Formats: sequence, C-alpha cells, structure tokens
Amino acid sequence: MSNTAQPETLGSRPWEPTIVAFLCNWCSYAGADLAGISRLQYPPNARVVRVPCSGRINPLHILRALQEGADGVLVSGCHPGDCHYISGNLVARRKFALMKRFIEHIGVEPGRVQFSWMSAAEGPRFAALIKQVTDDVKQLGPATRLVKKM
Amino acid sequence: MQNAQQQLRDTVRKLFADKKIDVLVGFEKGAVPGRSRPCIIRKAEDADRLVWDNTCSNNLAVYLADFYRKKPPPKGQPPPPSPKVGIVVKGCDALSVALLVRENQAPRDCLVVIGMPCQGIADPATGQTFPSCLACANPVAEGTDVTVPGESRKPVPASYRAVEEFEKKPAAERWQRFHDEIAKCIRCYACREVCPNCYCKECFAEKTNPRWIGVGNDRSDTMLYQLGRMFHQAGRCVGCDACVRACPMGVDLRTFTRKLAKDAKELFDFEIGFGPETEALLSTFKDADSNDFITDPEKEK
Repeated sequence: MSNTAQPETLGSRPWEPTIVAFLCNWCSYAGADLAGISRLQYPPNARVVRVPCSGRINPLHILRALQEGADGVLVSGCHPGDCHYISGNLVARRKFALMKRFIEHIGVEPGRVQFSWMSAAEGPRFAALIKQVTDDVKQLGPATRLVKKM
Repeated sequence: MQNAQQQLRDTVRKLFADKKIDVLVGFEKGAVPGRSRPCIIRKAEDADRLVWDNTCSNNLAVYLADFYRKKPPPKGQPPPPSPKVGIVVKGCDALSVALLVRENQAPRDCLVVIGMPCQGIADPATGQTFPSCLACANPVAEGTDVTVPGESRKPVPASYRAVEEFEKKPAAERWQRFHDEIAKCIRCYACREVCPNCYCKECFAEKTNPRWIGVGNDRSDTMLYQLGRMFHQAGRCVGCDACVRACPMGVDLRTFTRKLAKDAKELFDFEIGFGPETEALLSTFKDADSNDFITDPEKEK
C-alpha cells in the first residue's frame, strides 16, 4: 500500500486518491452494504476496513494509514445513541474531536482525516459521503505529510 | 529555602521514627552544578542527605508506580504488604501523584505526600527560573499529607496564548515547525522515561505485534512516536516539563501538548486537578459533547 506515486508517474491516467475507510460493523459497514445492494454508484477510492465499533479506533490507526500512503482517512460509526455497545461511539467522539483538531494543528490539511456517523439504513447517504470525502481529498492532492519515505 | 530544607529533613526523620513511611523519594545533592539528583532513602539517618532548592527539577512521581507493581508472590505465600512511600512534591508533582492515584497506579493510603514550597525551577545553564515556571498555574501542592511551610510562587491563571498565536499561522508553516522539532529527535525515549504518566510495562513504541513504530530512522516513524505519546497524554499531562528538560536534543513540543489541553478545556471544559473527582478525559463522555467536527454529506457546505 505504499502508494506514494505522484500524478506524473501514472502516465496518462489521472491521479486517484486512496482513502482508507474505517467502518463500524453494525451501522456504517451495513450502510455500505446497503449502498452496494441498492446498486448505487459511488467513487471506488475507498478501501474499507471493518472494525467492531468506532470506539475501536486508536489514533495510531489513522496516523499509520496516512504513514503507509493513504491520501485520506474516513472513520464512520453509528449515530450517537445508536451504538451497538451503548456508548462506544460516544467515548470515541471525544477522541475524534481532539484528534481532528490536533492533526490539523500540526499542519496536516483539514479534510485529510474525516469522521462521520452513518446508520445501516442510509445507503444513499453513504454513497454521498464517500463522494464528498473523495472530492475533498482530490482537491487536496496526494498526501505528502506523515508519509513514510523508506 | 534553607529553612524549608531543614524542616523537610526534620519531617522525614519524624516520619521514619513514627514508622509512617518505609521509604522516601526526595532529592540529594547532585554531581553536576545546578542540578539535584533524585534519591531514595530507607533510614532516618539518611534524612540529612535531603536537599530542597530551585535545582530540584525532576518529577519524582515517576518512581511511584514501580513501588506498587504487582509481582506474583512465591507459591503458597501471601503477597507482600505494599510499602508505605513518602514523596517530596512540588505543585506539578502533586498533580502527577493525584493522577497516578486516580489511575490506580499507587494506593493513596500507602502514600505520605510532602508538599514543598516552590518558587520555580532554575535552568542549570543560565541560573534563571524557567519561563514555564514563571507562568505556572499550580505552584502550590494541594491534597498533601504534610505541608512544609514556606512561600510559594503566586499562581498565574492558565493561558494558551502561545498556542493561539501558533494556530493563526498557515498550515505549511505549522507543519514546518512540527517537522523541525521532530527532526531533532533521536528517539532515545528519555521523555518517556522521566514522565510519571508513562508507566505502561510495554510501550506502544516498542511493541512488535502490532509494530506501530518502525525501527528505522525514517522521520515519519519518529513523528508517529511523538504524536502517539502526545495523544496518550491528552487530559493527563500535568505540564511539569520534565520531558522537555530531559531531552538531550532540545526537542520542545509544548505548543502541541498544550493544544490538547486547550481543546480539552474548550470542548469538554476539562482541566486536570488535584482531587479524586477529576474524571479521565477520554474514558468519560457527555451526551452533549460536540458533534461539530462530523462530516455530514447532507449538510450544505
């Protein structure tokens, strides 16, 4: 996954961002499933990693994804109040709020790392989310900060 | 301060005589001018070695967790009783002790916390008091068992001015600053070793499964180490600056650690305190916590 390829090395094909999407098993992943079953079209840039709960996400997961060459990271869990584990996403919400501000504070572009809530019934909304995140990251261009060079 | 030192020695002698403590963590005269050395004493006679002045820079709470690390007792024997530990603290160290007690790393009833008057720590290089000590919000130790009388510095209300100024800079400039600080780091882990909050038996930096941090000298690995450590200190850092003083390369990431403290205050009205009522920032939540940072594709941008 060491996708450090710059636009010109891809020949005539335009550069496409790689987005690592951490989706919680109970809502967001099922939402992605629904989008698929409903045959909704959305950009193929997201690489989905299924996690048991958004509370499982360690800030290091996000940093590691950026280090290994992801151009963007999306974390999505159940809506607050709908967590399968009652409060997993509420605990995660504090972490995410701090994390998002912190990572922008050190100079990583806003929009590289995004967080969202998505229910299992929101197939069209999931497709819209992936489209929006992909567009945001496309505008930012390939990730250069935090990327491992060796 | 001479007076405080004498009183400290008398207090410690009495504590040993009354069998209130088995061991004491304090400072003795160091080999390098301008620096005192942490010492652990176990006898009343050794109390005369103790020193108290503005060269006592280390955060002594770093030794506490080791006294209470549970080892399985030999087969068929009851576990040995927990030692009663006396510890000499400044305001910042007292915050660390309180944090370790809250995180169950040291039983409060086994500790005798000796609060000292603190006028700020002197930089061994210049003899001047550290600027961060001049801006200290908690110079007076609270929640102590014994308080050695003396005049402490007046508390200054916590200010995040430096962080606010840094926030206004463009992202590229902020990244450059972060990059330049990290470029100095040789990953000796001195910052972790002197930090009382870093009591994990196995640090994520040395884990091999998963290997979070590569063993090479790629800068991104150093960044991940420092970011991970800073994030582990979110809502826990007491701002004692032991890590900054211990760093042999002069890495100073306080602009970033303070950012986490500032956000914790802004977003969750969280401030670290001396009492047992301070909650753990990242393992508690409120229903009303902010959702503003969430990406909502249905919301108009």
